[in-house]
Amino acid sequence: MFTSRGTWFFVFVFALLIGVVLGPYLSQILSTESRVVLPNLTSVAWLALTLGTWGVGEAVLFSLRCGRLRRQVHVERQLYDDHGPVDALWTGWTFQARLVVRVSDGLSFPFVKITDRLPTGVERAHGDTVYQGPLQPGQVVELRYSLRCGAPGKVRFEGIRVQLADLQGFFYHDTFIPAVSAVRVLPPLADARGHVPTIKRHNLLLPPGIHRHKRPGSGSELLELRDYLPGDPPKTIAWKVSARRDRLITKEFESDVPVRCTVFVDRSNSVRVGPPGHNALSRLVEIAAAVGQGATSSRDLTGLCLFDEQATTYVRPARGRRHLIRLLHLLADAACLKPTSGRAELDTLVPLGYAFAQEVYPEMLRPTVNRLASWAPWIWPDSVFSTRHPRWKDFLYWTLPFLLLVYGVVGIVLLGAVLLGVGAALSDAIGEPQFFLLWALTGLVAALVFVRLPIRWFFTRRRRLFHWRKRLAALLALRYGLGPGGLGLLLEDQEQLSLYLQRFLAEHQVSYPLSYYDDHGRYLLGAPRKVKVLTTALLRAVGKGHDNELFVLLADLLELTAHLAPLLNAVKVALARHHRVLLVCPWPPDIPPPGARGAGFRKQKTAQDENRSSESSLERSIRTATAARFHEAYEQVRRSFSRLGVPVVCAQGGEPARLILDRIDLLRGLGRRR
Amino acid sequence: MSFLGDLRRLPDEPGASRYALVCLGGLFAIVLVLLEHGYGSWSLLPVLAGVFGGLTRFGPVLVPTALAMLLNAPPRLALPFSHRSALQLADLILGAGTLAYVIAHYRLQGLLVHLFPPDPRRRGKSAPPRRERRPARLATLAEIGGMLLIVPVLPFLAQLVWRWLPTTWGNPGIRPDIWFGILLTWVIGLTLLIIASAVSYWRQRQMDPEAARLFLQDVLWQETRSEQRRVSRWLAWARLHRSEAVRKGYRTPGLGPGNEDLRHESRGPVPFSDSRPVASPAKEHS
Repeated sequence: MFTSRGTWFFVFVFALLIGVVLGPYLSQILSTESRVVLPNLTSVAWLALTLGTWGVGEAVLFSLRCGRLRRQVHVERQLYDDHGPVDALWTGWTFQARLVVRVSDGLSFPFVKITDRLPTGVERAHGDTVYQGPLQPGQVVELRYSLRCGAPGKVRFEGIRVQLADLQGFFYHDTFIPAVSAVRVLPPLADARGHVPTIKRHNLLLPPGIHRHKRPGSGSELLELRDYLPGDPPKTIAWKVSARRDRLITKEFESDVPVRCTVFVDRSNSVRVGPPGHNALSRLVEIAAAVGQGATSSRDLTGLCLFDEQATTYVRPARGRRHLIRLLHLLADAACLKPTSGRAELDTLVPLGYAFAQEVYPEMLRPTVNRLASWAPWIWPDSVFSTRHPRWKDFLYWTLPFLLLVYGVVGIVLLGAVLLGVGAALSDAIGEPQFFLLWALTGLVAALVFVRLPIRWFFTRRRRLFHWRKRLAALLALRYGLGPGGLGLLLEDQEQLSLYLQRFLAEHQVSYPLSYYDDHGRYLLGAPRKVKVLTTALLRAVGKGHDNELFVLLADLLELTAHLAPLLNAVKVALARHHRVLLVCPWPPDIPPPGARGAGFRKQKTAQDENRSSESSLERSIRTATAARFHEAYEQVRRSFSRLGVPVVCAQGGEPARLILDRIDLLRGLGRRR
Repeated sequence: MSFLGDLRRLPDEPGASRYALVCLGGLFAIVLVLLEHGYGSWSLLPVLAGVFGGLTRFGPVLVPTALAMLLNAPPRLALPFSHRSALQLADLILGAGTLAYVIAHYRLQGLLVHLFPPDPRRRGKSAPPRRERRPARLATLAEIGGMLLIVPVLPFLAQLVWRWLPTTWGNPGIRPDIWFGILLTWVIGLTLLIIASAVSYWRQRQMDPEAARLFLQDVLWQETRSEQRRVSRWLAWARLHRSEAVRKGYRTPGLGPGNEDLRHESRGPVPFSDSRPVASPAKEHS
């Protein structure tokens, strides 16, 4: 609560009061005269009391204001566009945000700074997110700004940060008032060809199955004219032609048959890696959304199956705007998922989590409700028995109480030796006050060094991490309802704390570093189990398929070339049922796609090379080896599927959405030839 | 940038210049009282301290210090301040002038230097910490008027408190001035303790439910931390060894309700999924 300015002011007032009390004696000590008169000491006392009363009054008032702040301030947020309030945002579009802060009856606040915390992935286009000024009871503060989202997923508005200070800058209070709202950001709108629309093409709702299926049917396009046969409906008679030819002629129309397409989207950990909006999953979601919109604009049926290592979310093929919105919502939910490998270094997670909690949950970290004695990290170091692979540093920290004991004994002996040595060196002056002063000064300095040394050098970072861990563990135990023993368990079980911290950060859309490899160097995000899940989902979709259908697999199989056999069998089943299958491989954005050529790629590569000019040769070698490994894996996957006649394309290069829509047309053409 | 550099913006900031005028007014009141009491040219000492302090950040400390020293080491011809009656106008003006100077100077610092302290998390970074000032347009005349209203009240209160302070009450025979110092320390200490306790209790009453639950959880942990530490350490050890055994294939994770984490570990990490329901619930196959 006290700033340095306030602290120094109160120290000064205290010193003034001390001067009033001790002034006569100090002046007598310092003066040679027998009696020193300080004539106006009472005036100084009044002055000190005046300043002190004012300071204490300000402190009490500020404390009351801090206590009331969270109860008096209420926040509402509304997102809207030109047509009114919205529940979801669209990628790349600009929306307006309106934040209303109401102050209920009670105390007034002389100066506050209110900052609306923008979520990750949201860019402010115009307007201001900050208010500075006083807050009076009954006052309404309104902030308006426009925002834009760069990637599909979900954005989470946490609330507002309120900084409160008195006018002198003696006291400062920083708090966060939650106003949580999670809003989906839907993928960008695309047209029937999978492009983002630039012009308006259709004014009318298209009939079902705009694609012409050139077989006689009940469509609206004329296929041919033929002689009337008994049983033909009279409405199909072409009367003008019949009159001209003098016999009854019947019109035949094309058949309008919608094509069904099911998109399987991989949402497993391997595609979630990377910054939001720039990872492989975002690209897959964009492709799936473009396909869904393109197919819907043709009134074809689109289904969706989201899968990971554990489960699938399946939506049967359907059409219509409501169905499309449902698909986009599911894709947005998938796009915001964060990766987890089950392993993460607490040394990196805890500072990240603590910094975030300090910003958004400052009230939960205050020592009044969440405290840890400063001596606790010295006496209760982490146990090496509950650490999976303890290092020598862990063992050393574990022995800290013993080290401290040894240090204490040795230090006291050394301190005694120093004091004795000083005493012996100045033995002639024993009994004189200067000797005592020097001796005491030496002892004081030695004691200060003795105490200060371990504080400065003994596991400083680890002790700080211990404090942060305890506070975070208390917050997590409360947030996830772990019960009375949850706090203790999270403090002792580092892996559980790591998992809960990852969950906490993922829920708040905060990116965090991950370990991709285990202690034996194995890739943790490969997840062979997802092949089985995908196989099951594909077979189920084939079982429910009606006629020739297109199955698009947007799946990361590059790390699983040795586990593809079940999936290849399922693809064979699909092909045997006259369905078509297409595989789209997600691709890391910073690795050149297979077969990438052209000016655009060269330009991108040059830009990347410039960014990496500071890379060491080792890093460059690792990057080259990684790229080569990815290309080799891609070739293996492509060969495996090409043997079955399944085209494989890379998500990063070309236009996969357009290719998929072309496949839908091709499928219709196959139906005609059949 | 130094405070002197910040002061160059004073003419452009009307709110800040108002507070500068209040500072000068406070110094003027001090000089008037000192001149009246025959301090002569020595009366300018607090003014010099104030002007010098005004150019730095130490004005609120320098002016009272200079005043206290001048009052207790007066020139020969100076008249003493009388402290016999309850209300001393000269002291009142002196206190009010000093207080006005101190408040105005601190508020001026809030307008020109910084009001919020620099973010401690950015300490030691290469970029200088961002200084967050209070906009000078917010320093209105009404605000300064409110400040000037309390300026004469506080010295008066201080005089009353001083008069009411017991000087010899309960003296066991110690020298009166020493006993008075002890009493003063106790009275001020107890008053601050009572105020702090009352405010702290009131703050606890204002706690929101989540913070209160956290407080109770923390109390429980503080009371049982040794037991919790021992039990939790064993539990963590057991879980670690079981998962290692499962990983190496020595045992199966089992199907008990407490083994979800082991089952997950045996087949890969648990993906995080958002628990919020979608608008139209889709079918889940697991």
